[in-house]
Amino acid sequence: MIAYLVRVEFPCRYPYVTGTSVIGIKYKDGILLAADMGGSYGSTLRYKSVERIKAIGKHSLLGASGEISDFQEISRYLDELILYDNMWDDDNSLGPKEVHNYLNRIMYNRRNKFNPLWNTLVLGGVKNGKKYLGMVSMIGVHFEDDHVATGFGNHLARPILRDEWREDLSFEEAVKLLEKCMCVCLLRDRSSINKFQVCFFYSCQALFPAS
Amino acid sequence: MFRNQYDTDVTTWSPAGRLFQVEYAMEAVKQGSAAIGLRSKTHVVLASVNKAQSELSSHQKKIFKVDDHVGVAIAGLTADGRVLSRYLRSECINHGFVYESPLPVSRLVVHLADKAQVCTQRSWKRPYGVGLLVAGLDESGAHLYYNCPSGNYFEYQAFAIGSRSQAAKTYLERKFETFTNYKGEELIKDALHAIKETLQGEKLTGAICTVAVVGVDEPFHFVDPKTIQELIDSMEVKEEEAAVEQSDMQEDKSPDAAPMDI
Repeated sequence: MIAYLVRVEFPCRYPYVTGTSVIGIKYKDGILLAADMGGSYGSTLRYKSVERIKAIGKHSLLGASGEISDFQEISRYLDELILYDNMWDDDNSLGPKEVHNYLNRIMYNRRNKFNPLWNTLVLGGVKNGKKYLGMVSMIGVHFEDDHVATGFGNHLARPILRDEWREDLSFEEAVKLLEKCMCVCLLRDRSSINKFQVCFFYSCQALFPAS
Repeated sequence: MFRNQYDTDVTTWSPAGRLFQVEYAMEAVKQGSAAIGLRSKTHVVLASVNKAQSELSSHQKKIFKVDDHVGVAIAGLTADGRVLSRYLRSECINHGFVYESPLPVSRLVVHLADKAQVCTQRSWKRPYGVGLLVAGLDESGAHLYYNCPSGNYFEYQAFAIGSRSQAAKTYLERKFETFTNYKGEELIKDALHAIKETLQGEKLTGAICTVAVVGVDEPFHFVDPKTIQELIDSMEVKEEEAAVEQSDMQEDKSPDAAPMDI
């Protein structure tokens, strides 16, 4: 008799604890990301202080909606990536574009194994004065844009952004615009909560998590 | 009777602290026909001498494009050089696939040097008998590296390897400080001058050398032999003019001086 050794992997078919929309926009001096801090267990608002925006290296910010544990896994991959990048100890470093493409490779690879990481990711950053804002979905769809939003934000926030977003938005105006978007999301998206973070990144390469 | 006891194996030290096999590999680099490289802030130029193995054969290729932003010139065992440039190409392609951005040149040469180093520490291997001049452009500007069979690598403003490279090195040492703000074409002229030094009297033509450039807004490419010939011709014209002028000046200055023996 022939015995076959089969490696069985259990694909993730649905998410458990999820975060809702992430919104990202470019403004005059950099990029801004906003996400609330809720973590829903199904439709139960189970956790209230989940950080879903994370700094990646010196030049990038990552925001994630979808399965929280998968985001934590992705964070581990990226921390490792940045660590190994720093270990070269030269003047080169991975910028937002590189990280964005790397993430896309991860997401698309997992989707091809029929075991996707259940997230939609927003990746923004500034390197050498160049702003970058992009998105990757759980099946590996990726693109760049001046403003992006995941999940419900795509339907609720982006119409506002299409009307009101400008290239030369000042920091204050940009934060106001994001607050407006978050407010609309809070009112119409039942899984969003009234506590959120706005992270910004601007050309002098400093990072301040605010409010 | 007085055979060297310490050179039968790469991993065997001599009492003086040397690895003879590695040194022999470095000797192989000196046997190959010359290759030179020089750079400014924005451009790097590689040039090599095309030498045929025999009257009946064609010459072997000595400069390879690795990626749009990197190329190499080799001296030594061409076969080893081809293997290494294939390795460099795959490193660049893989990096491009994962990050959608070009691999920084300084990292590429570390990969290459590590590969060469392994061969100096394994008894069942032999060192690569080839020296590589790696020219490339990245975010931090133009770079020129020399990779040695020993696994060492160095960054240079200008360098020459291969047979009679000392003459080219002397030329480059005299001139490299002026290269800083040169564009591609000016660097090519100096590259041709340096190549000429290694020929020792043999006539420099567009067919006898290969030249390649990489720089800002200029992906790695080979310079057309016809263009090289035109540059050589213009150089020669200038040299002749200078020579004539100099002899004129000498005549003007010392009309009374006795002529040298005719």
